[in-house]
Amino acid sequence: MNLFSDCPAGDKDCLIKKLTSNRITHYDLNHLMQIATSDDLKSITQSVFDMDEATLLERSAVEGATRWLNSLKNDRRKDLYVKKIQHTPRPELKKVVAEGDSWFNYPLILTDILDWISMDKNTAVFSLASAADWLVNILASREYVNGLSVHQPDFFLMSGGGNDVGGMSRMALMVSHRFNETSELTHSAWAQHLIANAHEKPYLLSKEVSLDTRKPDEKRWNKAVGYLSKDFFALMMLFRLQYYSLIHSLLVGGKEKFPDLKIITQGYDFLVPSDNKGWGINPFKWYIPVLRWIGHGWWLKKPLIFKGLSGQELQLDILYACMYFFNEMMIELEEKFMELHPTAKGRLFHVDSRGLVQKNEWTDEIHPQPHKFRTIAQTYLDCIHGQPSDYKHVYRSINRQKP
Amino acid sequence: MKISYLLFIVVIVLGTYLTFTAWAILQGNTDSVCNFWPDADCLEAKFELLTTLQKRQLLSTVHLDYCYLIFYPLLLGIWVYREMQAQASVLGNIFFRFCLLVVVVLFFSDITENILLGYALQDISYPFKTLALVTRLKWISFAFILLSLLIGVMGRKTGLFPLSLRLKNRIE
Repeated sequence: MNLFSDCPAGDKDCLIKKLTSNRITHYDLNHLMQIATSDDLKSITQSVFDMDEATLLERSAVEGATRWLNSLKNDRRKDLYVKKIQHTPRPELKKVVAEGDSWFNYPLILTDILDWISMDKNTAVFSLASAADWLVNILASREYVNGLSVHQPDFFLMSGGGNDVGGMSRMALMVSHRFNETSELTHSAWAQHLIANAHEKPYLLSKEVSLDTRKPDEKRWNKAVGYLSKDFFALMMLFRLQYYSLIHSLLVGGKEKFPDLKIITQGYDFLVPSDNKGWGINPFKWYIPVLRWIGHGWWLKKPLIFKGLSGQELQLDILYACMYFFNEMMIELEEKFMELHPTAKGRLFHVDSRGLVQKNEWTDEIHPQPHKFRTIAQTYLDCIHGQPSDYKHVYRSINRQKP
Repeated sequence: MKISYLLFIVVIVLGTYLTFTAWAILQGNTDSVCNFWPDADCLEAKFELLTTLQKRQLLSTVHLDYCYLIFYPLLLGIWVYREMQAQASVLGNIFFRFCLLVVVVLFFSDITENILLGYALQDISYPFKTLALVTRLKWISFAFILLSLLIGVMGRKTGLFPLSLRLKNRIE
């Protein structure tokens, strides 16, 4: 045992146990992140999701009509991809392989992020994304490895984690039924470090009107943080480990295979729990009530009600805290990764979409309306085509919003 | 065969029909007006002229029509959807998403027209006013979609209207 660790040296089981109970030290978490093998990740995933791997993969699998519709959209994108790359290579044409969830592939009516990116004539997108896909599934199937090997793209776009939180009413596990005066945050030095990071390293740019733009809204954060359960923090730590493993396998483990590959990760916005049917008189928004027949209300709102958290404002604040934390986790992870592996500098980016989509600009609980997807896509395009970032490796969608 | 070719054929055939109808209207042929933009009176007058044999023949055509009217709004819907996904401007994208709704309106007005026509030909009821209304709705929604597709595709191919994303960015 050393001064910074609670576990005997080399005792991975102890580290995993500490992680799943949200009692792991910051040092141990970083240590586990670097030594965890894929079997360890499976073991942590089983503990966090409280089910064996086969059951988890079976339940999270994308099947039936969704799978068919996903493949229809991806097939069309592949045609477009081939059309773009089949002519003489142009230096300005960037090849992109994308893997992820419904923010990258919403198969009906909505024009999602990849649709908008595909419209740029200098960007060829090969999509492996599937609506309703879980990060755990994406990592288990490793479809992206083949995609990257075959296409040798300039960029790999990754959007995953949303369904791991919102699928199978799992949002109910992310919260406790009553406010804890001593929140789970206080037990996690890593989580506290993340929030301190946000306070101490503000987005400092000419475009920023305030030094506070990276800090959480204290009122909302304080109201919600006491409700976040240890499972939430454990899941965030699992995401950190999973993303680290994925990025490491491509930028460090696969440096000979993918010497010039760059990765862009996705951060989502503050999702809005709602079960409103979305009826209105604007004929241009006709699709909202139609799409709200699909899962709307069941991803976030109802699981929170199951836990007795019925107040609309409280629900919004809880999702604010969750998504705030998820983005900070991704930003910090990538910073840490580049600190550990300096060769990754300039090859790892994060799209921070927090605060872009207003309360009335959501198609349903978890998907923005298409014009907001377009702004996010523009953020990706700026990153792909070498525009300067907003903060270190972070591109902020809100700065791409047209007034 | 590519869906776009199939759609092209459908559009050409229907476009030709519309042109001839419009020509007949200009020539003063009121029957064509009644086909294209009917009112209850002209439908009733037309209906009274039909013999029993003609009614039976028309009824079998109406039944055949069901296959067609499921098929063509579906194709049209796919085309509109694809056009929507190709529109780089937010306005174009929103507009074609609205067109998807118009395709649904077209489908339901067409199917209602067929049902009501079937009733009249079987002497069950004679809702000529509603029949005239849904026929007008069918044609106007159909013309709206075709015109939108024409403008959308032309604009996208020429890059003039609406402005493509790249062109717009360059100007900005």
